[in-house]
Amino acid sequence: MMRRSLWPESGVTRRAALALGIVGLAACAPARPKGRTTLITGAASGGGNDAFGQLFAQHLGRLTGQTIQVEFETRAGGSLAASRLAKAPADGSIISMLPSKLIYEDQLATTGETSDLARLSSLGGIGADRRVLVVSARSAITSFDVLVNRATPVILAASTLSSGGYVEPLIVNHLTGAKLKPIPGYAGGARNLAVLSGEADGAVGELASLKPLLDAGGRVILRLNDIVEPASAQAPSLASLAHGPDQAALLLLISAVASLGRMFTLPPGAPPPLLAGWRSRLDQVVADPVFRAAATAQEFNLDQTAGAEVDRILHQLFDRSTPVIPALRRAMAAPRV
Amino acid sequence: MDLALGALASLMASPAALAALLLGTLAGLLAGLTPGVNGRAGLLLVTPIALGFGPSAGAVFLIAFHSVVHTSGSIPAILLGAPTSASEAATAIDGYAMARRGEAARAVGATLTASAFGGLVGALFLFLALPAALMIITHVGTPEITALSLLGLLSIAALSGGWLTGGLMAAALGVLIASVGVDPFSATPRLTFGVQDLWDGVNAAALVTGLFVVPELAAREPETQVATPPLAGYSQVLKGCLEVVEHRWLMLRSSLIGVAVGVIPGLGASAAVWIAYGHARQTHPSAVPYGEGAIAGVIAPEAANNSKEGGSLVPTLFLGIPGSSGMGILLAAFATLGVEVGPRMLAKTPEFVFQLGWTNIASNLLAVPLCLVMAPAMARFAMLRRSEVVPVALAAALAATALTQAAPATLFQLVVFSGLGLLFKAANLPRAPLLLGFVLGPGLESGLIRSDMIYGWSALIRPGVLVILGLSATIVAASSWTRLRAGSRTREPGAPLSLPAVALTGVLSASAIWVATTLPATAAGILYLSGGVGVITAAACAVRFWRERESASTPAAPDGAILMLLLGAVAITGLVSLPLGVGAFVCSALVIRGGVSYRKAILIALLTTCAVLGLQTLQR
Repeated sequence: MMRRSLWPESGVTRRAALALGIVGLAACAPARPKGRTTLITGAASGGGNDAFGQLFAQHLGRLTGQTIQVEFETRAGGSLAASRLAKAPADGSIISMLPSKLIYEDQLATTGETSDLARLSSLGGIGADRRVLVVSARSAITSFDVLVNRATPVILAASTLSSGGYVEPLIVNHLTGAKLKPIPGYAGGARNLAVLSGEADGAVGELASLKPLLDAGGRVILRLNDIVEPASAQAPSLASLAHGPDQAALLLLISAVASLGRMFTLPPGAPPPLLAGWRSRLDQVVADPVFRAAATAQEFNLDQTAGAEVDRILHQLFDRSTPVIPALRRAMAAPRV
Repeated sequence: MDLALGALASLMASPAALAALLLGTLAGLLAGLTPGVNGRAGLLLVTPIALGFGPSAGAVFLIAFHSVVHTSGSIPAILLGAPTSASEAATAIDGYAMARRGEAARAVGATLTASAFGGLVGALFLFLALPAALMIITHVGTPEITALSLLGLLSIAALSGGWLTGGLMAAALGVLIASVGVDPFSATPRLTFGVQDLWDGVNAAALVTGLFVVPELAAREPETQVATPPLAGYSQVLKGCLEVVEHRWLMLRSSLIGVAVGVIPGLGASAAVWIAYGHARQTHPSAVPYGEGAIAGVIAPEAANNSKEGGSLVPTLFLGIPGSSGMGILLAAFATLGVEVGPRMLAKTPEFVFQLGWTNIASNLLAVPLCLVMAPAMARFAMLRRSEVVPVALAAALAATALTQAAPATLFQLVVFSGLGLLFKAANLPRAPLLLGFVLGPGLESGLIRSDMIYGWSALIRPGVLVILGLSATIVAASSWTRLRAGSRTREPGAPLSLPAVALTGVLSASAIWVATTLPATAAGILYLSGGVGVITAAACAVRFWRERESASTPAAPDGAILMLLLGAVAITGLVSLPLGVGAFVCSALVIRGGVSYRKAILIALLTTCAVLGLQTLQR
């Protein structure tokens, strides 16, 4: 039997095809509808930041009557999202939610490029991190004192070289004389798995993300910033153990990165009325009881840093005349254990 | 046992859970059939629907969806020859060859049964081997994962079309392509040419489409006449379904490979499929040569593809640790639903764990009759004239690639990899080892460096590593023995374009070595290794092709008109929009190559455009 065409032979008139064509071509026009705002998130889909971005966009749209479209620009750990925002028009059509860990990336400029975070117009930061050092039960490390006195290095699993999980242990070494050895390359769930399997002794990270380790018998032995939770209340804070000339600058840095959490920003050069309007919208969403209930149900932390304060912190961190960047570079340049 | 039966009874007694099971299965099958909507994107799309079911039934919906999305996912790859992921590409090698021989229905039948069987094995593993699985997970470290990557690379020999040097050269190029991006151990951009879009590596969909889809669909092939009576669909599908029984041990082994790779995060989702496919070629003789329509080449990857899902649910559900990005999305969806997963889930709600296990089994069983109803209709795709199918299939592949990342860099990569795929096809060089190198390269590199940093040489004497390396040596020995007994094997003939392809690989490999001299040690190692293997094997290939140049066969030139139209569609996509590029391509290609009337071509183009617009809307 010959192969035959299965396309319909009848029933479609030229006029119907023409009408369909006009509709189709009109739909193809890449226009940005008025009143629509795009929220670019620099977070990987599926993670906590992604879920928070979706939730925030949903309630921002509900409260302001605007259509909020969420776009993921997850590549390069959020750097591409920041770059895209830096080139966007400051007219309110595009805002972004960036992870504060980009601050480490920018300060170290490990890849030779920076996101110029200090140039962006900040709306505010939501969700302060509880940065902690967790060790597994198998590591036999019961306290930070035991860790400092251990003869062999303490191996910590980390994701990338510019992640808090890698940078902060080196800062801890610099400030306390500990022998932490962060190993990068453990992306996503592989970090916790490495600790559970005994390959790594522990990890530095946000308390909630390390919960599987605590459930498996791990313990918090150091708080890197000053936010206290029941699970970390018994652990000493880094501020109480740190010493040396870089102490103040590096504690400020860790605390700032942790407190900024998810940074909401407009492109650089946003006019003051536009900036004020968007800051007010951010405040409106965070104060909204419906949003707060939904966010709390998903265990999102809603600690807020005001936009002007975020701007001040970023300028302080990136001001070359302050000791922050040189102190961080000294910590990173210290001989590895 | 009581708990398991109680969970089954409560699942069956809940109308909401049953509705979630049915709808989740249907949605999963539909998502699998839709180009560009893979497991991850599909999960993101259906999470709002799951929310509507509430926590318990919502979790059932998500598990049902995720369990079967791969069951139907390979059907377009078989029928159209257009895989859009590295996993589907393995099935498409023999599946599309079967479709071109008029055995699409048989291939689809075998795919369905193997998928369902693999899914069942994965689900049973979730049920029965829980204590052992948790023990394995918590005792497997980086050295074992690295050794598994090496085991996977042994498949190169099987995928090389009987000629190891060519396969090694292609695999080296695949590892080289996989090394593009920021090195995680030194934060140094490597082979990114200053393009930030390449920091996370090349786009896998662009590589698969360029390497396999474009060369196969742009090939000039005569319209073969296949006699398939209208009612032959069901009998052929059933024949394919039953035929898997003859390959039951291969199906079981492949399913176990899938479970093992799924339960141990770090190898990548596609690794299971390629290791299983390579395993079939190494150990399972086939009357029809692999690559030309061997049914075992469809069964093995499909069984592994579905069984790995059951395996990967173990660390996700019981440790709260996602082993892949797909599982990460599932975990986030569970959190949104308010479903607590992790170690406490077992202690607090064991019945719910069993309910999810039953959902996994039920959805896999349900998928078979649902697909069987649709299968003959789908298999009729293969009855269409090739010149009518090619434009739509290429448009679907272009859309699926562009939808993964709407950036000019994605389209540029598609063009570059299409050129590479066309060159390799014209040179008769094996392309599957290139994809295997691409899939396994990053894990191997990261594993070697981390093993060295943490364990040093002692990594080599860990029990797990010794077992895996011993297994690797056994497979090599068994494979060599089988080959010796079978006598000399035919190998792919050379072709006039072999020398340019080999020269290109040699130059790229040498350039990689030169680039490596400027990089830190951790970033340079894999470039030295892959570049070195690439240069040596390219030289060996060049010598071989030079010696055999007189007997080289001249392959058919690809369809230049289709390629130019596709290039135009890519340009329109980049400059204007994807729907317009796809619509213009389908319309013009159908008129010019398909001999279709303008009216029908416009209608089909509009339908395609609307489908792409719909996908774009869903994505937003």
